[in-house]
Amino acid sequence: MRSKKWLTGVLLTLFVAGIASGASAADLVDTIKKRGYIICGTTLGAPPFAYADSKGNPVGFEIDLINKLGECMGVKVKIEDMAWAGQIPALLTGRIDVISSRMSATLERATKIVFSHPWLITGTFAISHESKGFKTWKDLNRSGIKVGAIAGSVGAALARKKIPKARLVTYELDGDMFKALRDGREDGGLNDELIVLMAAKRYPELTVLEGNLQPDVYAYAVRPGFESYRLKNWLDLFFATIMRTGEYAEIYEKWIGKPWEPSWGLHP
Amino acid sequence: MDLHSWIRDYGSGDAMEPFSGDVLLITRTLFVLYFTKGLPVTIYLSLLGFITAMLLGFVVGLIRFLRVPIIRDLLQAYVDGMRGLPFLMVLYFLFHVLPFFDIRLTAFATAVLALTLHTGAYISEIVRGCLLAIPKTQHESAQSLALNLRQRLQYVIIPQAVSLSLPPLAGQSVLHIKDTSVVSIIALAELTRVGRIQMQTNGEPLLTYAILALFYFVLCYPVLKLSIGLEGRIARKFR
Amino acid sequence: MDYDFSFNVVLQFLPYLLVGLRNTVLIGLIGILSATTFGVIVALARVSRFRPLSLSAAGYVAFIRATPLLVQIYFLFYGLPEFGILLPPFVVAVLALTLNSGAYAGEIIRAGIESIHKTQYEAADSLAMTYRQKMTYVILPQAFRKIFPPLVGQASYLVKDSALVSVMGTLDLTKSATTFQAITFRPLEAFLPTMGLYLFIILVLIYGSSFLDKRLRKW
Repeated sequence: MRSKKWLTGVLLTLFVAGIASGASAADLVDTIKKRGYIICGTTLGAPPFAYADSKGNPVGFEIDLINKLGECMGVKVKIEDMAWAGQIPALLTGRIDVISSRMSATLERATKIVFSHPWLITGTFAISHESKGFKTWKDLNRSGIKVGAIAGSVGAALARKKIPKARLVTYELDGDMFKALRDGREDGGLNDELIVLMAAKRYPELTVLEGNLQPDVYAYAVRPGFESYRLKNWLDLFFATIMRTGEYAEIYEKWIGKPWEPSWGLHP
Repeated sequence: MDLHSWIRDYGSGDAMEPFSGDVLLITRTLFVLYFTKGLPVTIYLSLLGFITAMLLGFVVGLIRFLRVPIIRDLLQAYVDGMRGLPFLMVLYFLFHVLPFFDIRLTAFATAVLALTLHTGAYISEIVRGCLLAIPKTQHESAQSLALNLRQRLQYVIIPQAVSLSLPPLAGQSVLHIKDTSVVSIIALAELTRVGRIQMQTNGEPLLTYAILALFYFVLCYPVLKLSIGLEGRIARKFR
Repeated sequence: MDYDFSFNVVLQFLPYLLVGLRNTVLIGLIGILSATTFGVIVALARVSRFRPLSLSAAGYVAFIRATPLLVQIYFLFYGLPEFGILLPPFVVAVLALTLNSGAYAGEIIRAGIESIHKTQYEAADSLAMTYRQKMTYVILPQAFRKIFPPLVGQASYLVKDSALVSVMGTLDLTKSATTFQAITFRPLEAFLPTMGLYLFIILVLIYGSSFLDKRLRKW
């Protein structure tokens, strides 16, 4: 009888669906271990943190840390390059497992994603062409001034908040913003401390302006929810561990060139 | 000594490595990278996207030509949508909105989907136009030979339409290859993206983008020439 | 679907949207005008009897047609300052679209010019017109009447391509949508109105061109 077959079909489907949904209650660390690799998101384009070398491979401070993460977890790493502003959506929609970039842990972002413990203290600084004659970042807060920042970054948010009189132009990549500064398109640019310092080193005509707009820290981020709970705890311990064993100091010195001075107060 | 003055006076480790290239080294690096990392992805994207676009476009164009009642209007809306939107918007939309519908595609898959949908709409227009261009007499003589619709299409109309469609299809494929450069905006590592990322470290836009343009030119110009040549041949054939 | 579409957010987006719309319309209008003008120049160069001119024009058109607009935009935006030419993003946008669309428009206009029968040229010559008078009063008006529809179609392509100028940071329609999306993470509220506006502008141009096609045939 036809209706019996139909009924069996429906019951079977429900049964299979029931099993499938039960299986998906495994958490992210299990999934990663089973899969064999972890998908880490970042944005290439900001030496010394993450950029592409002359062979086109991702290299940098962040990349070494990510590789160390994979080593410690016993999985391979897949590095996903994406637009800076696209990292949080990518994390929330499951395209990446963890944001492993130079993302600052801000309260605003923490309402959407979960940060693990910090791995670097930084802050937002302004950089400008030396011919413009600015001294501190506050000099930029005048009408008629054009300021650049990366779309979706802390710099952009701070520009809107603390330099509201200036006109903000957001860029996709850090190098593009520095090029615009060198050309004189923008009067100033906002970015993270070390990125700004490296740019000023590379391009002597750019100077770093005085004043830290807002000190903050870099931290990895995971999705909110039970699925990523174990991963977040693992990441906390990961950074604490490599800082104690000296592996972190090694990577820091390789990329910044200066020995790392730990601030233990920041790392429980 | 604080970090700022240290960095200013003493430099740093590996971070300075990419900045030390001279023009010849940068040029060589760019050529190698474009060729090994960018070109394969661009070619793969273009080919895969165009083939799926042709399949989609053929089916859509045929259905629109046959004027199947309700489906024709839906497909008309689809084609109008693709023609009336910039490819970048289609790409952004698919990239950002699909995940909310639980469809998780990689950047590559999203790019192929966007290219297929966009180019497919244009191909369907070409297909429909070529099918319409076959004179009614062909249909009538086929019917007088007692061929049904399917046979008429299969043996008489479509073969003639195919040769008509080759020039515009070749032209469309050039546009398609150029559209693949737009997917660099969602950070897919094809030719244009490779160039942009390299420019972040080498700081030489003229060199980087000139060589990039050269690669696209070498890729597209032969296809362009082919389409112009085909146009001439078909025009002569139908004179 | 895990998304709450909210009209409040659309209202928040409205100021960005209006700025973007204004810029896109401006870039579109100015771009169409200058691309058409430039297209006439390119077309005349292509049909010129002076070989170096026609060959370089042909080479120029081939270059534009075989390279993506995005690469052209990057080249102009980041490359021109290396020569000391610093133009605001809006100007670079119009320039890039002019140079790009102008080449395509030039091909369309060239086809129009070449479709004018030889007798028109002979008639003009028999009236002792100079080259400039011939072109201005006899050839180009007829050519334009013929190719006005495809030119309007090309105008629609220009508006489509104008979305790419968002990479330079120009606050056009696309950039306003992506900026808003980057702040609020709400793609639907940002993209749907934007796409609606693009559809409206571009489809009006496309269907306008086929409408004009039918009307002008009666002339």
